[in-house]
Amino acid sequence: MTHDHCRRPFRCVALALAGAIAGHMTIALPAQERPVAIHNARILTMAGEPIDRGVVLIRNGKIQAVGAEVPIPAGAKRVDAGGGTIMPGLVSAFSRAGLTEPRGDPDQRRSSRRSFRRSRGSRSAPKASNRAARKIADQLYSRQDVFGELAQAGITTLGLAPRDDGFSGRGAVIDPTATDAATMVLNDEAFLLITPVPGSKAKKLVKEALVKAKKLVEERKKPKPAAAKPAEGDKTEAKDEAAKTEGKPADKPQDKKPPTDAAKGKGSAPGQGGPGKGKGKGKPKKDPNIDAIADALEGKTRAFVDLRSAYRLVHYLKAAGDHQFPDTVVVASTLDNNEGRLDEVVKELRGLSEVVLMEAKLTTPAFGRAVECPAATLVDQGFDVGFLLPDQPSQAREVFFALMELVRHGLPQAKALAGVTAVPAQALGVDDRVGTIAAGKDADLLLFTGPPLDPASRLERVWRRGRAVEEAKR
Amino acid sequence: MRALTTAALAVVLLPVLAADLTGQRRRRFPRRPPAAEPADPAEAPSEKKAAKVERWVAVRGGDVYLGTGQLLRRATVLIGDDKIKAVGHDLDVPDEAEVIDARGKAVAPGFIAVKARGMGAPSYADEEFADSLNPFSPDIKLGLSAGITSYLAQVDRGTDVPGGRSAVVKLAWGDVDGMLVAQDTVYTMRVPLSAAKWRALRERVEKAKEGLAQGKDAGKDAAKPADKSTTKGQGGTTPGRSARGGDKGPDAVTKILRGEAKLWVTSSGNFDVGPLRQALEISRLLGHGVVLDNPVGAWVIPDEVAATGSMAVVSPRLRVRPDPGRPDDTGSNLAQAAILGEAGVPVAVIPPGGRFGGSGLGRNGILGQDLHTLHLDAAFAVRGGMEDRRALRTITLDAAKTLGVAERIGSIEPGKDADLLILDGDPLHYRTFVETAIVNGKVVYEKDKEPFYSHIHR
Amino acid sequence: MTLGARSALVVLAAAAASVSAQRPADSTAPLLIRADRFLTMAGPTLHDGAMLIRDGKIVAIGAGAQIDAPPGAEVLDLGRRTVTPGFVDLHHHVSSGGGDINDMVLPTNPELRTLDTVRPSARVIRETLSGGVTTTLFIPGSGTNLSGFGALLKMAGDTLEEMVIRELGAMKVAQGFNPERRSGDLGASRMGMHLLLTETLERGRDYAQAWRDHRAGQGPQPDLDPRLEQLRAVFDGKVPVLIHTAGARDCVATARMFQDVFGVWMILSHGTFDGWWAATALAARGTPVNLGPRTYDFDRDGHFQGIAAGYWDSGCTDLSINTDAPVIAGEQLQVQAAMAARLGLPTQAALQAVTIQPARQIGLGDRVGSLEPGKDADFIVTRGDPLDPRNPPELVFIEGEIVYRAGDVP
Repeated sequence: MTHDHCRRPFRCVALALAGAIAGHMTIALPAQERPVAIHNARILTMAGEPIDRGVVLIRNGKIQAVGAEVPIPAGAKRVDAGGGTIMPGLVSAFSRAGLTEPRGDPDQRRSSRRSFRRSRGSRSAPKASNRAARKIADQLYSRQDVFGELAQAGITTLGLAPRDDGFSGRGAVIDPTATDAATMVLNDEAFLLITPVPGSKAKKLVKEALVKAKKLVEERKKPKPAAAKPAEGDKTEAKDEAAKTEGKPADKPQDKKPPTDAAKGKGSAPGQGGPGKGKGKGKPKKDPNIDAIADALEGKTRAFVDLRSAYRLVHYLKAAGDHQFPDTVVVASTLDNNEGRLDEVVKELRGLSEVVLMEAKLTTPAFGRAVECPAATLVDQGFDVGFLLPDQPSQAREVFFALMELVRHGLPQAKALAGVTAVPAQALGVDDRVGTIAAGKDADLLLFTGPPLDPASRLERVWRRGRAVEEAKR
Repeated sequence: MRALTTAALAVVLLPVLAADLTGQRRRRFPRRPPAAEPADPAEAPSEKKAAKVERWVAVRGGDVYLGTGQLLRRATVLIGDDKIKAVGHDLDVPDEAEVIDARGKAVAPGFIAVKARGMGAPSYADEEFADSLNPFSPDIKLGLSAGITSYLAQVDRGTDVPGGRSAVVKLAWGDVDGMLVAQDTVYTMRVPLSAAKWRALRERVEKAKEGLAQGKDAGKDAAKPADKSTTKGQGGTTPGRSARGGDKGPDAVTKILRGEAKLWVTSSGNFDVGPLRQALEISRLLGHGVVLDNPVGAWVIPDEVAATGSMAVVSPRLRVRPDPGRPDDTGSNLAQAAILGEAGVPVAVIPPGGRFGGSGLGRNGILGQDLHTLHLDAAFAVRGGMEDRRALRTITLDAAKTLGVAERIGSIEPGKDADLLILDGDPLHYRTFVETAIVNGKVVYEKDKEPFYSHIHR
Repeated sequence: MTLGARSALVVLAAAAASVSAQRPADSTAPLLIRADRFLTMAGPTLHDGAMLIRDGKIVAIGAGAQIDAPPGAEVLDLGRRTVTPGFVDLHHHVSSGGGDINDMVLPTNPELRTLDTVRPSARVIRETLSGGVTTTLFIPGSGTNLSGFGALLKMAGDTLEEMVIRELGAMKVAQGFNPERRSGDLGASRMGMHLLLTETLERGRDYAQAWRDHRAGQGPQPDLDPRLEQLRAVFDGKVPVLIHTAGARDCVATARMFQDVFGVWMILSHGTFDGWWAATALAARGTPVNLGPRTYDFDRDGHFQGIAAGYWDSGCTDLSINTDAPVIAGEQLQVQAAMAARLGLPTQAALQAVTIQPARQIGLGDRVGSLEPGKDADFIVTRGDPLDPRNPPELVFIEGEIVYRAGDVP
């Protein structure tokens, strides 16, 4: 119990209580917990109008009820929010936090600096590869401080994305408060990431893979002539192959049995309808990467397409042609001034997705100082805009300042907050559990001392599934 | 006074010069008949009704510089989709046409920069350039502000044999499909060649000719054997460079022999008479004119150049000093563009090289030396004695010819791409600005709407 | 020369006029020039004019009907041509036949001069002349803080004596950027440079003062210091200082140092990059500016802000334009003026900026830069607007002599 941050005495009691129920995260809890009622709070549910003075009732890590008139059951632990603001925990849908890969994206060209001599650019075409089957969860190093620190910064759900150009692999949804890989990964096939780059080879790669995957989808639709068994066997073998080619240890159990949470989520195990083709040719050669892409084409997995610029978008559309993924989220991991911004090609963008995850950043045109807010433009055009949260905890804490800037330049406040909660949750396919405050959802909550977009407000508490995320010892 | 008559100049000259003119003689070579000029397009608007036009645009009432050397005053250019449909007076303009008033303005073909960089083309050699073109490059707008609508992007160069990679790229802002005019219509090589390299080149060409002769009716596939040998030969002479345009199609020599591509010849040293004659020898070997890249000595032997059907890319104002110790090293001449033009050699002009000149769109404060003012280089051709409207051709139609794409761009004629400029005055005047640039029938630049020159009112 | 003549032929192909006289060897005979248009730079454009020249000087200029050829005079009727004063370039480095010259050991070199390096036979001088440039200030480079004295030259002559107008044309000072590149010594930055320059100037000022006092009978005769003799000319007001600047910072610092503190005759050169931001401060002091070779500042809004236009609009109207040859070829001074006009400087001001303005700035306002009685007969003949690259000088006269005919330099 630390009292030093209780600057307002009347709130100390409340915090003491909250702390008491939170306990330590690693302690196993009984099946039935005492309900917790957070009261005296302004609640931004992100699912409707804010509740000026209301109660969030939590039981077993879930929100049991929320509203102005929620009766607090006898025996419930009462947490006085002291008039502060409660909002859903942040969802960082596209993060590379804690991955082992080297940092730095060679293809990332920034143009913010004004230079007398412009660089001649690369002398070789961008390279891309098909690693669709690769799971980023396999590359996760769970025991890292960064996750806990991100959780303290308010991020209660984290989407991890692979990095390479082309078909980058499958992203994962993780619990940043967990400490071991087994409980950390909630869904290891949350999305298939495609990072298209221009250039003949890269575009051909995308095109050909999509054609093959489409064919596979057609085959899967045919009635199964043979038992599923051999197909399943094939699949495992193929996956092993894939793992070998990537030089990474195969993780068969994980492959076969996705973590329990995933079963409920959208990303179910792929390849259920394994085709029994190639009777004449003996063992059909199966490419697990194509399999993974086919899953996304069928809508079993959603697709994230990291487009960054209008330039990449138009080339991706040419490469992908008609082979569109039913569930697509456009990501703009950087906004490049030299390649046109996505909000300049709204029509084409809309054809791809209505959900865009982008940097929470203002931009200036290539020539001129006019400050523009691409996020506001897209929101005006009816897009659901989510914001990318930085991988560095210190920077992640600053996201609210970035959002304030966007709000000052025309982004509605509610959209700014939805952009770090409801929209990224929807993008990751975890909106049934997180992203809003509603009965039945996970009790992932943030308590601010005031309106979250007020510079005077402070993030005071973070709950993940009803448990307080402990402050780091300083 | 023989020079006077041979020059066919029926003008009065300053008597102060007369004394210097006597005794001037040139060697004469059989001259190729000049390519037939297209008939007055106003009389023959090719109204192809085959494809239905979705969108009509009429640029009305401007003084239209066709780019061929002709000028139609107060005429209308009718654009259907991305092509020019008709040029002339009293045209039947469809009711639904969008009319752009160009009265009191000049209308000219978009300028073509035969040496340039940036503006949306990749800096690497892609198999298909179209796969890497960036229609949102900010340099595109900058290029359009200078009146440039197409340029040659060269990303690799041949050395001892024709090679390299190149693309003719259009500044079709925002339209990735409208950017590529052609790829690998320009190959390059260098002279002088050693005896052994000359022999190797000759063998290459003979082989390619054989290949062509054998497979005359077989079309493209016939070139395949030659194609293979090319790759081998290429590896031997110019390691690390590819002479081939992508994976498919015939090799550079075959394409040049078929007239499908131009060969640009440059010199590793001063491009004076010695290496020039070797370049012309190459053109005779190929049976096609070559494009002489910055041939500073060509003004000494204009008729020799003309006789091979070759073309030239020059910077009229570039000063290359003669070497008095070497009679062949004549240096450059301000009049070189004019002299070559008069001999019937199509000439394209480029800005001078040097610290602040060259093939870029500088942002360093020096104006008048680079692509921001390509029209000034045509003006310098006039300074050297070229006739005004012919000089406009050096950055339009004749520039397109050196790139092998004159069927599509370079002039305002029916059937050609609708790439044109509306200018606030004489196209070659130093104070003239582009008011509107149209590429593929679409307005892609307006002076008032872009920052560059919007604050300047003439 | 046949090749040269050939190009001349082409150059003049479209010529419609007939010139009736060739300059004879006896140049003492008066010469009457008739032409459609005289851009005198000393009043409105003169149409259908005549200009009488004797002994290399203009003796009369006016309406053609009012000036008759005196007995024995030759008449050169240029018809529909334009006569403009020869151009004057105050920032020119190449009359030695090479590039910039700089002695890079000491930061201040008031004892050096370019005079001894002039090469009258240099081809670049003839090239410069072919662009209509008749007067240049041949200055040393800007690699050191005070690099020496430039010679003021006419662009024709077989000997140095024939070319020189003033041996000490101007003292060259470099205030920013170029001289800052050396490291490890005092003077590596603007701060140390300021100190060294001030010290040198103070020595020169005191030395000049001591001599003046002595001449006025108010002091002993100072010891002759050859190292300060040239600098003395600056403080005696005989020679101006031409100062290389880079950006608004240097512009203001320069005006403060040379106008406010030392009060010497000065010309601010370059004034480029964001220098036009300082134009208001300079206009208030009436600072003469010599702009170039940069002609625009590509500002953060993407505007091509004309530098000359920026100065002009701020009231800084005492402006001339340079080439900084070899940065821009000396013969392309007219392109520099044309680009200033393109970016918004009034055309007349652009013409003045390469004729009468630089002449006045360098103290030759009574000799060159305009077509007025009493002035040197330095002028160029073109088919039209002399700033248009399409109109090359067909003839260039210096002191009444044809020194260049189209095609002389191929």
